[in-house]
Amino acid sequence: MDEITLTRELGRGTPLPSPDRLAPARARLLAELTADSAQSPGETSPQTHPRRLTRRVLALAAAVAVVVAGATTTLGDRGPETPPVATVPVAQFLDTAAAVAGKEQDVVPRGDQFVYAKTIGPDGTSRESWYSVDGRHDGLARTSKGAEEVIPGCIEGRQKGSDSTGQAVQVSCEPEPHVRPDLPTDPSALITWLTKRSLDKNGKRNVNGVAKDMWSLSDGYWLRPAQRAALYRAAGMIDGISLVPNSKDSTGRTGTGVAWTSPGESEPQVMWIFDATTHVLLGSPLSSLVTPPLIVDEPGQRP
Amino acid sequence: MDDASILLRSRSRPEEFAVLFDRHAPYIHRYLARRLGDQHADDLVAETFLAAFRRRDTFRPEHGDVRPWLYGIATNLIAQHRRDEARALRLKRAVPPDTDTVCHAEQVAVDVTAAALWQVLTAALADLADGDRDVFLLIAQEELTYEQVAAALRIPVGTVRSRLHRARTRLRAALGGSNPLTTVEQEIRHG
Repeated sequence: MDEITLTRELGRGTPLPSPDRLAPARARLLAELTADSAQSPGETSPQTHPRRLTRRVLALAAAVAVVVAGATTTLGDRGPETPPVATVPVAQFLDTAAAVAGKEQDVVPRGDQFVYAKTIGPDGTSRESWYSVDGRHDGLARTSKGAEEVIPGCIEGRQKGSDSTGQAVQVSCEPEPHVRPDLPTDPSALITWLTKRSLDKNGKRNVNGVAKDMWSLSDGYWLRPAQRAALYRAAGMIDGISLVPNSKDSTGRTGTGVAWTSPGESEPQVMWIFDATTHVLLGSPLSSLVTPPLIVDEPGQRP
Repeated sequence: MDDASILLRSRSRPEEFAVLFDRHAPYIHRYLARRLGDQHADDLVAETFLAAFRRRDTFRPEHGDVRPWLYGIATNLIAQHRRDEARALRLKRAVPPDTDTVCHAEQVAVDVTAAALWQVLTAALADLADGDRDVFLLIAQEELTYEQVAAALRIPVGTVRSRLHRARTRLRAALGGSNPLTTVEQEIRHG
């Protein structure tokens, strides 16, 4: 159990609140909404009687209850045991992206090499990173604002770290390789591989975890062409995936977004944006790929 | 109707904003309760949604969805209650969460070790830099993605990664590189 799992367990001691517990906060909000409705121009008539507004709010609350009940049903339908369902258009799009990715040059990196990638955020700050292929060598991260940070490698179960006072110490670790030779090249097998990694303590599949691992693998790891192709095709098999045309990455480039709607959420979130013509991955709304993951020999070296 | 559309409509029909409360308030309340305790959460969940309602014109759908935005507002409110958060973490040390074990005697053995473990963990969480703790808890407990945390806290994704890495390194150091809970469970289960 690592520190993230432990902290998650710690959080599980706090349940979701009951509607009764939320009622006073809801009443406070409704009071302000109602007052604002009375003043709001737009579609709400300024002459609307406050009591009528209150009735509207109550009617809205009833409608919300119906919506929430419906959402629960949907969530149940999309529960962890539900097999993934492919949505044809998005699956087709991802299949084409997979075919393009599958034709990239194949490289089998050595353990002492590094995965280089350069991304740029919405504020224009670029970040270059050099992750150790086998997780056993010190890597590097550098931003265009001049920040530089060593990404400690895990050597014989120990890595450089610091304690709460900032003193340098050696901490225990497990290597975090950024190349996964065991990542399947068959989409179904890849979903199984990801699912095994994201089982919760009761052995139930965590759909959220599967999708997150997919995004993480796509921009921070070196994937062989067949692995990347399998990743895109596997994404097309996950329930909740959809296409969002004319999405913009963090640098304003327009492309076709691939979005995922998390179970229990109503809004799709664009996580990948592909060039609509070439089907090459551009990045996401918050992080654009200037240079996709490539292999170099040492930290600081650019391809 | 999706959240962004409701937010947009609430500019002319404010009462529709209540839908967003019903969808997201349970999660924001739990986040606040995890960090500050139930009593503060009861107050601050209302503050979060009132602030969101007053700032609804500033929400930009292209920067992410509504829930991370709400987490960001809640995190700003938590920043005004850092002492209360430290107190909440101290309280948690005395009440470790349940663990899965196979019989009462084994439960006792695990509980004793677990209590010590939670003490170390909560103390280490309290010692993290505020920004590192915000990032770490949004990812570890609220299960936001790096991109969602970046949107919530209005920081670059690279900063999210580096803060998370720093937090994890410090927690690992505090835990001493071993997890007594796992060790005891393994001894019990594997003999």
